[in-house]
Amino acid sequence: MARDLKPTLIENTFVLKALTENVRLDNRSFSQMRNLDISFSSTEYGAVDVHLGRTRVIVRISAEVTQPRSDRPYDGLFVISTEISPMAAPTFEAGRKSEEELVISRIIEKSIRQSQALDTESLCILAGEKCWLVRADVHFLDHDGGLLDAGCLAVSAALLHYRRPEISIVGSGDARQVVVHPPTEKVPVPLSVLHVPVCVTFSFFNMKLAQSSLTAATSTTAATTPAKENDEIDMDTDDTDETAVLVDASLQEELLRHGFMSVTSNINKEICQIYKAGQLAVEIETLLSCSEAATAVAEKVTKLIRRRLKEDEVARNVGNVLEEARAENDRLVADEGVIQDMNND
Amino acid sequence: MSRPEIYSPEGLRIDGRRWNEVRHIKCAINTHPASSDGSSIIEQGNTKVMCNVVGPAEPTSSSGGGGAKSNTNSFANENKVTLSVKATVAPFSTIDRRKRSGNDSRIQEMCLTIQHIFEEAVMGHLQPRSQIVISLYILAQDGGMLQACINAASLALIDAGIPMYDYVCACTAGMHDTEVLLDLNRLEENDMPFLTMATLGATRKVSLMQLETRVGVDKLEPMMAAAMSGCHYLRQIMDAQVRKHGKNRLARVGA
Amino acid sequence: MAQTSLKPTANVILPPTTPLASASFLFRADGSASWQVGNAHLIASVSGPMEVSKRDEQPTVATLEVTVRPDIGVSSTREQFLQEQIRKAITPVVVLDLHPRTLIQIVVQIVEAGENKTHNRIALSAAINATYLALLDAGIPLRSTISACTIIYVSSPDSNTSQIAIINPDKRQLEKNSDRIASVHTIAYELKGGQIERVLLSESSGQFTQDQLFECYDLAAKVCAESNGVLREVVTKSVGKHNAWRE
Repeated sequence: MARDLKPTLIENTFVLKALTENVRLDNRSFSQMRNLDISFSSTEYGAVDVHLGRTRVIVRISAEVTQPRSDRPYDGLFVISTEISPMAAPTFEAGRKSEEELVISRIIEKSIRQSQALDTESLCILAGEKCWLVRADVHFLDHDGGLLDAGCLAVSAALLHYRRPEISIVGSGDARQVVVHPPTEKVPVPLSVLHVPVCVTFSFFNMKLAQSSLTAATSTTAATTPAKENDEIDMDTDDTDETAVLVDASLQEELLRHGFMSVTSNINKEICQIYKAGQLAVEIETLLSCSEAATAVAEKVTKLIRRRLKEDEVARNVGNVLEEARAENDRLVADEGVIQDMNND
Repeated sequence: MSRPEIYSPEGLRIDGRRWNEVRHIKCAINTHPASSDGSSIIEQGNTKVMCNVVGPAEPTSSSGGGGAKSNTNSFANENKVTLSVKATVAPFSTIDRRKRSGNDSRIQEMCLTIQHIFEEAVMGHLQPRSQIVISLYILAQDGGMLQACINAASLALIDAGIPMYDYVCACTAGMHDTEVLLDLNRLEENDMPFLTMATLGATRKVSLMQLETRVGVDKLEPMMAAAMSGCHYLRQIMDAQVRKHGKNRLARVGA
Repeated sequence: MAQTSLKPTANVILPPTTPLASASFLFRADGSASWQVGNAHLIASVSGPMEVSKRDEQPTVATLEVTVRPDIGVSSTREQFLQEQIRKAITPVVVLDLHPRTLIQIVVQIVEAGENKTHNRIALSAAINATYLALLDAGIPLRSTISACTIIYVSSPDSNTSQIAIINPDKRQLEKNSDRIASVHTIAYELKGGQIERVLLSESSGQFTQDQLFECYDLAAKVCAESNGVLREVVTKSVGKHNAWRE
């Protein structure tokens, strides 16, 4: 395994100093996400490519018919695989789970699978005998911070984009058989996605610590003046401003941050998951306002996903007589109506 | 009635508590003086967790410092203590006896979480190039496993005499329709959205907040407020126990 | 070997599109490249020369580590096979003894396999091309150029004419001819100055005659020379981009 990149002391001081002056190195505001780009494969269903700044994640959804678990005969199976290959960064080792990878896979699992974003009951074909196994393979290609956020929204978008093959059940009784129709025979059907979870990570910086390390750094070269000490006392009493909260940290900010919280929410103003595990202790009010900010981001991101999906749908349908002639078309229009209603809400 | 009522119209919960009452807490420190530097047992209702702390000691290659984390962490150890957390879930801790594999990602995640909490709560800069091993044994589960583990670890670290900024106290709070319920048991946990929160002593600073079930964002605030007051209450109880233990010990030394 | 430009004949079906390649698009990896041919799309990344684990360290040469990751599902024997074939094909070209006790890490991510899960030949030739381009992009010292292609021979519907060669077939062609495929050949050539030098990898399966195989080699030489042109174009572009500051 390659050794991890450790930011230098100078880098550390520089970033923190900039933050005390409300500046991020990439010139974003504290609550601004990086440029988000979502594109879908033109040939395959459920293949999405997400760029979040320089971070890049692709997700492939696939489905196959299998046997349900014996203790849940009415549920289909849904698996999310989030192995991080050395392609994302040489620090990730193939076949071994790092701490970062563990956290990412657990949070994506909680955000999407545990929050029932995909209705697993709809994947049941024959109770106790046959069901769909839906796989989401998350491939992290490039790591510039925010793997978790990019991965989570990529899975959400891919689930919405995916169409599974249509099936029919032939025969009756014990001779029942499931026939999977290829896309050329019957138009594939979308998955039943109940809500679109979007994960947002907030990075916390202890500005008091930053301030003291900065003064320590300067005091080595110049003697501290009494005025400076007074400033420090002012900082101590000023409790409201001591934590800087950054949305969508870059890799450098991720390496330097003192703590983080990941909040997954959806457009219905529901929180699906909150993960703040130790590190810097943050005022309760800050956490609450972060959670509320997360729902606003989720709304924006969900709208972007919907817009991209619609564009993709239009691009796919050009001159496609089969698509236009299909019986499902009416229902699709109805679906879009629902989407529009949701957007208007 | 086949299904027990989670919260009765009279305002009583399944086990007869009111909404703002925590379960009966029994805790003790220095329970295993021979086998570890610090130890504790905490019972929150029917959830029971034992914790052993060994350290600060020289880092061993098998756990923490070397081995799995290789040389990346040895850098950090130059100026800070290395914490490593292990948790064992007893097969008899739940009704259905299951053998749990050591690399259950849920347990691994919990260990990592606890490690990150105490890295901030322990004055790690006082013990550079050393290691503290926290071993948790979950003996009985009836909801609130994470909170009991955090509380137990907090007590055991204090018993080991490791300098800390404050207690880390954890508590859960759930939301039943529009009613907040404090410190949930297993039945309640399965029935409603809940969050686990840990605070640094009796401050408003939150060290941990975890929520794993879907809930409206407007319901977050009352849950957080309740959980925080629960944390502060737990600190009182834990502190009283530590002080009682200290007094007893002093009395014995004096005699 | 005489090289003339590729022309479709009655017995040779050319791919509908030329291969699509790009390089240097990943920021963390030292080198990266993508190769799209038919319906196959692969991304390769190269990191190194860098620290090698004690276990894999070689005192005289650099260690070459190839990881192939499938688009769907977990890694299986198919990926193991691809890993081994890619490693064998590129090893003679990489100057390994320049960086002893180091690791050159290659990761090939299949984005779209472009063929059925039970097959791997289309992916193999695309992976070799992508890997080579990524090595070049990472600045790893190389002896010569590699280019690979896959050719399938299908028996023609009217049995009296000879078999038809399809170069780098896409999914549609594979499906249409699935029960008429006679043989599959994946060939990687070493090129120097755009001239075909040696065969680096030849992987054939199915039924074919010696004459047919030689014919296939000639055909592959033409295809490889042409896709070498694509490669050259990409490299020129990315080198130009990297050296833009000089002007």
